[in-house]
Amino acid sequence: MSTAVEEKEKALHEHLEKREYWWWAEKARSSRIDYLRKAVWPKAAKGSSYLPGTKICWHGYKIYREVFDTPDAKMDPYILTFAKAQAKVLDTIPIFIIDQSRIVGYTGSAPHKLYMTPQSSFNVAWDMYNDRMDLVDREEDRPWIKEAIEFMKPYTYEARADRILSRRQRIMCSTSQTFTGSSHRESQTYSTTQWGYFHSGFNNILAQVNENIAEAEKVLYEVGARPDFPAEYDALNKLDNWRSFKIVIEAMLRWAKRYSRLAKIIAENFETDPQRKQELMEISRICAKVPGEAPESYHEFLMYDNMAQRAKRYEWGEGAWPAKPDTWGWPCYKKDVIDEKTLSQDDALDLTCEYLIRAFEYGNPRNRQYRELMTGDPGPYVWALGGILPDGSDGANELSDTILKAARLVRVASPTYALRYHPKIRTETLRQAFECIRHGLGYPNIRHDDVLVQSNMYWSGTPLEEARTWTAQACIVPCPGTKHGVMPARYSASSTLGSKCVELALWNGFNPVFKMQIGPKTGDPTKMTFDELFDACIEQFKVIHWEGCKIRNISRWVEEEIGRPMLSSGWEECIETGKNAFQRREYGNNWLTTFIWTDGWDAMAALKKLVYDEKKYTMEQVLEMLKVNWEGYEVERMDFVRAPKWGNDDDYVDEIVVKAYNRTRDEVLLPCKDWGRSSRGIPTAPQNIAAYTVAGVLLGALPNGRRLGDTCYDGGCSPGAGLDKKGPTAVLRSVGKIDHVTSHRANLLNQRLSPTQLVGDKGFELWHNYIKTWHDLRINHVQFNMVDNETLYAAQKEPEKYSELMVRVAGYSAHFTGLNKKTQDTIIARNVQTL
Amino acid sequence: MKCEHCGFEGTKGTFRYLYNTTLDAVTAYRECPKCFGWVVCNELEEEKKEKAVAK
Repeated sequence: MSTAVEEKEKALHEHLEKREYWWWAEKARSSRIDYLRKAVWPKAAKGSSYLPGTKICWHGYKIYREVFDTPDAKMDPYILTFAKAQAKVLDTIPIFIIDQSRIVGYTGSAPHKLYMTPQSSFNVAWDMYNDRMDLVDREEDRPWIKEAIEFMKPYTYEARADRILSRRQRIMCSTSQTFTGSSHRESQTYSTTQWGYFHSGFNNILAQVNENIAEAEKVLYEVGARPDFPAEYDALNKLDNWRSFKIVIEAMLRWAKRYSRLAKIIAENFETDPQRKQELMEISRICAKVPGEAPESYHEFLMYDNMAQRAKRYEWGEGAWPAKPDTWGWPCYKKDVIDEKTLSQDDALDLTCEYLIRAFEYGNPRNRQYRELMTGDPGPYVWALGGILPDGSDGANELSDTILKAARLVRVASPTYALRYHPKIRTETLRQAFECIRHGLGYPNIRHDDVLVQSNMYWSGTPLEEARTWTAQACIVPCPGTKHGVMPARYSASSTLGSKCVELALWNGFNPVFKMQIGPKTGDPTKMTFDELFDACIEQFKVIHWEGCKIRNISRWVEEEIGRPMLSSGWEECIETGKNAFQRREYGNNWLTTFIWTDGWDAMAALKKLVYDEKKYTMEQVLEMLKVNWEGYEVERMDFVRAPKWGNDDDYVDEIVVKAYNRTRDEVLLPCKDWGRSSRGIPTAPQNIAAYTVAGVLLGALPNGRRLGDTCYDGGCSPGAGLDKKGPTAVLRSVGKIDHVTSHRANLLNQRLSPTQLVGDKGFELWHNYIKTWHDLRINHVQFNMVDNETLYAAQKEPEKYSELMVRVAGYSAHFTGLNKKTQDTIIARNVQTL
Repeated sequence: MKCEHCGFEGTKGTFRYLYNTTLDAVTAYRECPKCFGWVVCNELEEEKKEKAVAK
């Protein structure tokens, strides 16, 4: 070994010994990946602000303003005009190739820009236009941008939904009293990809579309054809959809060819390095081929997926990126790396690293609240790995391992990963997953594959084989990637504030934070038994959940009218039936995310103990203390804090929490109806992202001891930070009392582990034993932070030295120093569990 | 209590309550009404002191 190599090995070893994984990554990755990683523009927000230098790409506004003002647009159905506008954007948007990059395609006119979709939300556009961080690149562009935003307002999903929503519904959407936002105010969606079909080559798909158009035109226009109203009516209903699909597919293929030409121009006219020249010519070759043709090599697969995913994001901002890359890319990877060995493992790793960096590079403009909810992450882009495949075999493979190795080298917040765990999972993949956690990345989260497959079958009526194709549609909710299973948007565009039901029950439907009567008058709590108070909580939750669902059902009608030609083009059923992505009816995978769920039930346990059982306080006294936010009642507050708490395997409180799950399922969730073809009710998915800090100022004082302003519990079924006093097994035993198949759609458990305890092979074995216990208890999710407080405090003190330090927030990972102090503090406050 | 940033003195209640990282901690962050700086407050101790003064 040469001295330089020896020194590098020594330095790498030292970083690992000192658990300085971020410095290890910097030295261990190739110089190309190091350059690309450092050259990337992160699109995550810190608090509610984008990072300095980030700008909005308004190119879409310029084009849509023109296209929606043409005579054709006044006559054409919305979807056709929408397709024409998208096509013109793809034909005219400036494109670029980043130096040293081998995977091209970006959503936006420059790498520091977020592309704003003009048909989604005018309020988000206004927010971007007026942002104090000056997101408009050139001052002289302001007049036309302003005029274009005003012009496009009536064509936006938001304005069209607002037109049909009631005043109360609009107020509730705007104020976040019991749920945050709603789909029409978010300017983003979470659409799933149909396995196989999406990667089958868009030339084939286009040929099918052309055939269908020809058939429909024959029905309508063939001279001498017998009149047939049902057939003609059917053709008329489909024809414009197919025409819109054709427009966007052709535009996407032209857009890819623009990259092909650009790469060739640079190679032939500007590039002086022969190796880079060759790389550019290879980029040119691949972009001339994909996504028109199906990929045949691993490099082609990565380029195909990146191009097609990016094109989809020109249509609508995507807040998530549901993917199963170790299955989608496996045939190409296996052929190149394992069978034919035309691609070295190192080069495959480098390409994978760049693929992750390209995904991390994407971001979409978000409303202010959403930026806070996802502080530190442009996603979450949760990619599922492993799991049981439709044929019953293990889905983990060498590509799963390569992706996890790449994740440790690039250390990006998104993509983040969901490892679909089952007892027969490949050991090497599990070990790679543990290494990621040990490196402090906070991912992958570990998902109970069988529970989630069963849950999908229970709530959505998805057949077993199709349920096994699941990817994470958002942070935690699985969605099948099949012809009848894929979803155009997450249902959960409004996320309810679960514990608000307890607060409203305590104040007879009055919201003490907003000073408004928003809930039903369920009665004076001072005159109630504990059971009656419980009933009142359920009644309050009914209104919270049902209102969110109804608004979503209504806004779905608007989505049908607008359609999504690009998304529809990747879905077999749309191509076959001529329905757009929103007109077809998937099995149904609907849910409302429920933020801050457990705080309220801990509060109920404290009331049961101190008011109803021990009678130490009266309800009047409790209400008085809550009214003043416990000010002057610190001794009494601590009494309530010391009452039994969730996460300690204490049946006193656990029974209350489980009862809350079961009653809400039976009385609130199951009676709902959505558009799914075989769905059952509309479930909740308790989890938090960063809502546990954001909602700290939306949820008032409660009898669990919280004050207005305090952060809430950090996961869907996590105990309160620091309140799980009896160790990791007690936490699992509490959480295992919930039925994870039928009582909710998915749930989230955060745990912190000791990095010093889990060193070496022994550490892996300890962790694996813990995972086996977790699996036996049939808990659907668990994720880990494995960074010690010493490091976290040091990073707070000297953030410049820890810029690459990552942590798991809740449902996503983020760079620690990119979080605001409050969120940082909440992560430090979580108990470190010793296994 | 006293603001460590600007020296402002007042009762605990005059400092706006911000947050507490864990419910069982007696210390919390409050905001100085004068300079808006964050001040760490031992809720229990401050309350005891204020109650003693009131007597």
